[in-house]
Amino acid sequence: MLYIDQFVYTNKMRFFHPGEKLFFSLITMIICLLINNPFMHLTVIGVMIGLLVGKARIPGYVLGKILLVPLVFLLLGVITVALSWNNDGIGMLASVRIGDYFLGTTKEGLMSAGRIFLRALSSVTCLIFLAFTVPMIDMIYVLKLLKVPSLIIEMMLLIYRFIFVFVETAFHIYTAQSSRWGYSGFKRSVYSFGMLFANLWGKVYFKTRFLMESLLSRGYEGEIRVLYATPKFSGKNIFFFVTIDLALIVIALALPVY
Amino acid sequence: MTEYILEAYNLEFSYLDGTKALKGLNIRIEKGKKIALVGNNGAGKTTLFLHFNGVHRPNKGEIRFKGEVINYYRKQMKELRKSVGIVFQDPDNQLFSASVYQDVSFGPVNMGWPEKVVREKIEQALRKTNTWSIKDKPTHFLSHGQKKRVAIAGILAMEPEVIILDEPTAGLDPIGTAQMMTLLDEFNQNGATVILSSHDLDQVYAWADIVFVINRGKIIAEGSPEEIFRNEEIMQQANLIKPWALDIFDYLTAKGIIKRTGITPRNRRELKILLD
Ligand SMILES: Nc1ncnc2c1ncn2[C@@H]1O[C@H](COP(=O)(O)OP(=O)(O)O)[C@@H](O)[C@H]1O
Ligand SMILES: [Mg+2]
Repeated sequence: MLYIDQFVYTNKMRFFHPGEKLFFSLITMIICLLINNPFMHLTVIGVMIGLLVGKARIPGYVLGKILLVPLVFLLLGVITVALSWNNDGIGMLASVRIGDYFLGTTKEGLMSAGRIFLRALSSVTCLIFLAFTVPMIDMIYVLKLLKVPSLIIEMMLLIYRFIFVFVETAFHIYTAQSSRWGYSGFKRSVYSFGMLFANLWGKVYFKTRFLMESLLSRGYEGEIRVLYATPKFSGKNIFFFVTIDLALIVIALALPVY
Repeated sequence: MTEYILEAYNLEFSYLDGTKALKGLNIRIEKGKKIALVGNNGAGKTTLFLHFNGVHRPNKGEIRFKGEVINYYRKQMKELRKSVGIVFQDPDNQLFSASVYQDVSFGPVNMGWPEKVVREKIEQALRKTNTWSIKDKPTHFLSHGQKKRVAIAGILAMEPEVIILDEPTAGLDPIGTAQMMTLLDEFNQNGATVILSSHDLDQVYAWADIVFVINRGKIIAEGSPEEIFRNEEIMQQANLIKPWALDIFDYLTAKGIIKRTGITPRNRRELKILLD
């Protein structure tokens, strides 16, 4: 998340209304999950990557790195689907003999593994689209529009902000330690890490106290009420997104399913 | 008659762990002035500031705002916190939202103003502090100086009559410091009473109308910058070092190189003019 964050705030689709992007991503994902058509799934993957790289201007290598994680997981997952075993090896495209059994893969096995893979990957790209184009701040705004309880909104607001403060604090402690040989061996590292953790909590405690003081001095009375920069819905963008989703459905209906 | 906007009498305050931070402190802040509070680390500056808008409540003594004793009732508290704004030393402790815009909106929304007014105030505050262009950036990508300016915008948007800044120039580069002082001058010219604490005595000397010296939880001196910084006893007691412009000027007049004219230079430029 910290890594993605650098790109999210500067993505060129940042100022689309977050609601538009959220719904586009969710509806496309639902289409991917409901309609089982590998061509359409491939199209979704292409569209999402195309939008991210072409329109949002997320560098390809960054996207690649982020995609790699689900990719590896998915591949490992579908391998078990592709593999099957029987006791004569007939009908298998390739197989190895293990004792009395043949472990291998059939055409059907491969096909269904491929389908599951594409379906899952297309859904994942929808989420990645969301993660790269909608910063957390804007996400919180949409949740607010959707009438999510204010307690949850407040928590998200504070947690999101303080993740960065904590990470920064932890990083400072780490630098201070390692500059004094704190991580110069296994034993030292374990010790230093323990110290880092313990001290982080102390610092966090004081941070929250100071934060409380500063909130109070600005008139805090038990509820964090703020205004949001109000993005505007754009007919053009909505049309754009709706067209893509409709086109996907047309592709799904027009192309045969194997 | 001088009008005092904030007064504190016999203020005593201990933290929960027993640290006595204020020990019978007296101070009177004149309305509309530029005021500096100087003193060592741990002298009690931050603690005093937190008393000025009711975040801390004294164990003993009283605080007055516009002559009225603070009673810590809700209604008065709200008024006080609207009128006296504190910019905290570490902006990371003040900025609670990752969104600049949201953070700045917090104070004015708490004031209960209508949304349209709040949005106007936010824009004005962001423009005045030169942060309008970064309003869509998340706070964790801002530089220290930018964070400080956003923190100030958050206070400015509430349009306080008194703006208190706890070490506003700590951690800023020279240009940032100069810009900060200009900004504070602007607030003052627009009618606000500005109070700051600082360890940069050269800046304080150049900027302040009135200087207070705090030491071990007490105000030990008050006066014009020249008076205070020429008072060797006080300077020694509070471990302060005379601002260089004043020091050199006094040295040069003592040597007879510059004639006393009644003008005391406050900064580099003014000293040079005298030397020309
Ligand atoms: N939260 C706290 N708990 C306990 N002691 C504190 C706390 N904050 C400050 N102090 C103590 O109170 C005294 C005054 O601190 P402070 O007002 O922060 O000084 P200054 O701002 O002038 O550096 C110091 O001795 C300090 O250690
Ligand atoms: Mg302090």
